[in-house]
Amino acid sequence: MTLVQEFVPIALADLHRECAVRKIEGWRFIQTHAVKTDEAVDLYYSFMKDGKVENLKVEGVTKQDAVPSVTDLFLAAFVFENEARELFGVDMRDIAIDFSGAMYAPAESEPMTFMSPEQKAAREKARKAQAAKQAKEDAPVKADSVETGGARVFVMTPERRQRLDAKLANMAPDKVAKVEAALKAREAEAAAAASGAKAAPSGDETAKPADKQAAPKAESQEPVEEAKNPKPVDSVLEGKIAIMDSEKAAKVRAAIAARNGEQVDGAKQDAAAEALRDAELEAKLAIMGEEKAAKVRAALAAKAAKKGGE
Amino acid sequence: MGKKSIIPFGPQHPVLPEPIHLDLVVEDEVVLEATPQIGFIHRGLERLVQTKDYNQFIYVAERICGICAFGHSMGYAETIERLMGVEVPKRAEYLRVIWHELSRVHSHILWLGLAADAFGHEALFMHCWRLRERVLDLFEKTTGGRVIFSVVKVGGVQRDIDKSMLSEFLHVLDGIKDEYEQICKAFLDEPSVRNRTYGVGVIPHEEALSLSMVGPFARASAVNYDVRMLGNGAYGDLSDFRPILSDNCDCYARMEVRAAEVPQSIEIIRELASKIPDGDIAVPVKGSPAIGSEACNVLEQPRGECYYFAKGNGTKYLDRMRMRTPTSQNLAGMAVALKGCDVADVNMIVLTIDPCISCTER
Repeated sequence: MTLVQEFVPIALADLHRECAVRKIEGWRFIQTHAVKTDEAVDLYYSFMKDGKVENLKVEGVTKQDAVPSVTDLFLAAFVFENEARELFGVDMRDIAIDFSGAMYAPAESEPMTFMSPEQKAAREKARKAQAAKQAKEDAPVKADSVETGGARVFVMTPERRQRLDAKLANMAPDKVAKVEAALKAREAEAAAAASGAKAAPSGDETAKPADKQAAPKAESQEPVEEAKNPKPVDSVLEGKIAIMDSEKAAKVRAAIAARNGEQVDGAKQDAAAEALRDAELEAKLAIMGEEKAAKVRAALAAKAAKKGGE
Repeated sequence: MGKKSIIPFGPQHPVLPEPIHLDLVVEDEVVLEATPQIGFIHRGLERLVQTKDYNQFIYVAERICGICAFGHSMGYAETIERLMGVEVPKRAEYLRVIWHELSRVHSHILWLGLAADAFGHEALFMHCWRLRERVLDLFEKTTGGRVIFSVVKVGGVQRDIDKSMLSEFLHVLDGIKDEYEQICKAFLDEPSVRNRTYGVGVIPHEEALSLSMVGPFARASAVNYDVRMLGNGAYGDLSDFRPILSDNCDCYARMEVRAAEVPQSIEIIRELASKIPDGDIAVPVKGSPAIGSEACNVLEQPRGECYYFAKGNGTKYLDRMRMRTPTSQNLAGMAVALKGCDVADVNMIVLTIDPCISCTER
């Protein structure tokens, strides 16, 4: 296709002047049409010269805006201007052949501006999907990220850490713990990706050294470390599990174990679950006030004693 | 000097086949001013695009008008392809142009018949429509339809035309050409026809330019513009294309231009049929037009340039589809041409723009 198309946004105040300029320059007037947007109406004026189609676009024309007619320059526009008025409610002024709303005389006024709730919902959904896609594409391109072997990974810079610390200072302690855990997971992920990119092929073997690198960085009060599965589990996954709630984490671990071909008998699974519960509890206690923690411990001890008695 | 009076003309009138109303301000049988009024068959098809997905709408597009049905489906599909960045196989482009030129042949022969009817030559009208039937038969053989073909789809065409069928096309068109030349003699050389058309409804070249007229109506006023010369699609592969012009600027010139465009279309079909490449006739089109994406397109319909505009919103439904048809662009020219003519010539002048009010109102 050799047709050249162009869309040029212009202001409503310049519309008539721009059209007059094109008339002098010898452009041929093609047409005018309106497009309903969420808030207002966009008007398009199309011209052609030497195989190039130029569409002047006047955005955001509301019902209060008086739009000057271009029929004094191009008489052919009278059909389209009457149409824009009747179907879109655009306030067209001084049309050469003015039907005063009686050209189509639609039964419903401004029928092209109506939008059903289903249409609105579908558009909103499409817009959200695109925003999500855009965010996904944009996120790794931030200055704080680096490229490693084609994959973009997260890197914690001192400035970023400073900003984060400032934010964490105002947060509730349980939230802080979660953020730290998530951060650790991302660091582990970055390390894994970095080591993966260097030489090693793939899989759990590459994740292991990354795990070791990441571990010392973790703060000592981080409770989830204790709950770690003794089996070699992907460090990235481990980080993710750390920020899950205990039940879900247990399920995930069971699934991983099954995938690894591990023959887990019932008792062993129970023990693992128990250990996990204890670890979760410890984590919770760690962020509680000392008095409250003591109370909980006492209650737990009583429960354990009761269970033992049975 | 007589008294000024207004004669309402149409939308239902024995000599006017289209639902258009004219307020004719007359004085002594001379039209001083004519105001066209449309709006009798507005169907809101542009609105329908919001509830039919972009593949379904092609069937609505070709129902805009019964005569340029193929052109509308082709123009619509090309616009969506531009909107979504789809590259159509070369063979599909050729097939589209062959069918499109064939529909120009039938449209122009149909128009000549109507013109004959307008100046009172009924036998000529019947001869024209008899010839047109043979073109429609070709459509029926290749697409299964005579008016609505439904062979174009976004990304290509639905059906192929094989080699033997293409040679049958040329065979039939050759047969038509001989008979057509005889009929054209009656149109162009017959004194009674000349009396009705020569010097009637003149629009000078400068005025035709400033009124932005399109199609044969404009080319009869020597406006050197035909979308086909831009070389979109398979038109770009033609060895030579020159718009047919006339500088008589009257009803006779309009008839002359259309009469000469039929053999030109037949030559285009012949050339493309000899050049048509092998290969696929369609590519699969997936996804939806992106949010805020806009595309426009122009296509030379039998009646003149048609402008298409589409805007996507991320769903499979379009935000807006605009079709500016040739007749709506030529209405202003028609109103100007009617000034100063005799009342008896009004139907002749209205007819020479080849009005299609169904297209205009959609």
